[in-house]
Amino acid sequence: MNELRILQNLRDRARNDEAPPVDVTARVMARVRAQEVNGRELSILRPLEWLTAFSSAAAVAAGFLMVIGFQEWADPLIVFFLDIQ
Amino acid sequence: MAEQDVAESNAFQGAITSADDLQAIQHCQNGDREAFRHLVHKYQHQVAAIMWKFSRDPVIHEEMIQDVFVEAFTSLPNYRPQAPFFHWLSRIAVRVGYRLWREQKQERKYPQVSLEDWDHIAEGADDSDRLASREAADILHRLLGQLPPRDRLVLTLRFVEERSVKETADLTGWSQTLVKVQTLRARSKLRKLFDKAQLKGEL
Repeated sequence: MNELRILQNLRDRARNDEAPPVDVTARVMARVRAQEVNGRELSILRPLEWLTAFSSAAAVAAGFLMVIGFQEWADPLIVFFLDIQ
Repeated sequence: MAEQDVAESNAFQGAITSADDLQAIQHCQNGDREAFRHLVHKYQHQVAAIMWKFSRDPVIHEEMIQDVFVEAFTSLPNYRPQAPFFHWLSRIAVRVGYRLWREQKQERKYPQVSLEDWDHIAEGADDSDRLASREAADILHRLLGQLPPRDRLVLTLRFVEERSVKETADLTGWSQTLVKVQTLRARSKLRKLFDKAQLKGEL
């Protein structure tokens, strides 16, 4: 049995089959409008997102520097306390 | 076959974007959203015909048509008039339809072929069947639904919609070689499906 023959036969018999009539214009326009509003809201939030990202990066860098600084600064203190003991 | 491909592909490329459409597209690209209404109104029936091959559920079908136009609106800034507008829209439609099939396959929501369907398929092979168009289209849809989405897509475009290799490649974004290879694989899987049905005595 030839699989293409079966397929083509079904296709020929289905030739007059048509999609149901639709009118999506109003719904598409409503979705497009909603998408634009969402896009606008997102674009308002975008500078804030950048600000958050920069703040986070700055906080991580500051934290790193603090740890290094603390280690450098703590050593003389430890020596001082050890001397007292 | 090669000559036929060339002829079909010329007919496919022959469609040009009308002046009205170009004007509407330009207005959309300049931020006039309402100009898109003209394009939706004009092409919704053609898009509906394409999407009917992807889903025969009227609710899903309508949602997919909306998805196609919403995606088209989002991608409109990238549209270049070198390609006919409907051709460009068809590519989006195929992408949306293929995505649905992949989702349905992942959720294991694909149509089942009943014993009665196999009877009709077998009768059809003898040319003795008097199936109504809609019923035949339903069976064809369920039959191809047994295959993985890629195979289903290539068989639908090549043999149900009777598109050339070039057109299929344009619509899917695959190379022509890949289309040919995928067609061979899909046919082989379809043949195995029939063989299996025959063994079970369904066909």
